[in-house]
Amino acid sequence: MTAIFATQPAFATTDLHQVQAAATQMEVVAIADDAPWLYSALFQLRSLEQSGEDHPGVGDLRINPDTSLTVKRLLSNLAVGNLPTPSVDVFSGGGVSLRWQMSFREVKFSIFPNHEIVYEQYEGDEIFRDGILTNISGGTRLLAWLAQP
Amino acid sequence: MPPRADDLDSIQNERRLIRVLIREDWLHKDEVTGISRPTSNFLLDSNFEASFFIEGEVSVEEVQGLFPGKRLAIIGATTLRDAGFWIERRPDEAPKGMSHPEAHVVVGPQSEIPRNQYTRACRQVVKSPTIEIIEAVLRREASDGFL
Repeated sequence: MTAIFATQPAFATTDLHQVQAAATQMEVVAIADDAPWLYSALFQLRSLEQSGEDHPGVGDLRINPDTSLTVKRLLSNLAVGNLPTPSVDVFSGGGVSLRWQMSFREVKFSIFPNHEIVYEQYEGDEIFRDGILTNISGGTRLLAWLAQP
Repeated sequence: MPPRADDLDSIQNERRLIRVLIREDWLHKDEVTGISRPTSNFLLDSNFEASFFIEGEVSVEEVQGLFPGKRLAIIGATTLRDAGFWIERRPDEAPKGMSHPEAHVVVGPQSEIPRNQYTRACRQVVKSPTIEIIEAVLRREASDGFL
């Protein structure tokens, strides 16, 4: 079992495996073996953070640290292992979306800078449920639905 | 912030609006039909104010020049308004170098509606079969022999 320990400053490093020797409290933010897709998702997020720019006439694609932390906490606490790598994207105003597809099912989370998370549940390219995610367990249930046969 | 008004008088329903596909991920190709459509992320904005340009007041070529290498999507004002969006001119927020800054508008709901309703409205818009995708052109330099 490979645990990822990190403090918030650790997320600012370029190497997610590096442990910060800091006086601040360490916490287990993820168990990598249980969710292999997590590494890829975090690297996609890191890439978006590094490349984000403000584009007048289109929108601001910079992701602020608070939003990034919300995304990382959501990713780290979704306790479903057998999923494909999600697509991580940014939308104007610095929001982040996470999208998982398995067969004809899809689950998408849109994380806004005010920390609201919208979920969308698709089957066969048609939406059949959406709403505001109020707790992590709801997110886990959505992904469990995605993974079930 | 969302549009403060809907400029129906000067932006009639027949007008078409241009938005830049600044990210390739905002375009999704259907594997079955081969047709490319914008995703809802293309229209979503955390502050309910997605930027567009009014076709005809600014040319497609000028927008391509401002955003070289980027594809464009053109959507009818009717399609946006049918989803409950307003269209407001915001010349002060136009990109530098625009010939007519008043052609820059923001599109969004009439107020800060619940965000799941907002994403739902964005989905409605991007499903429209009338959206036109314009391919990207690269910026041409005067010295490259083409001009």
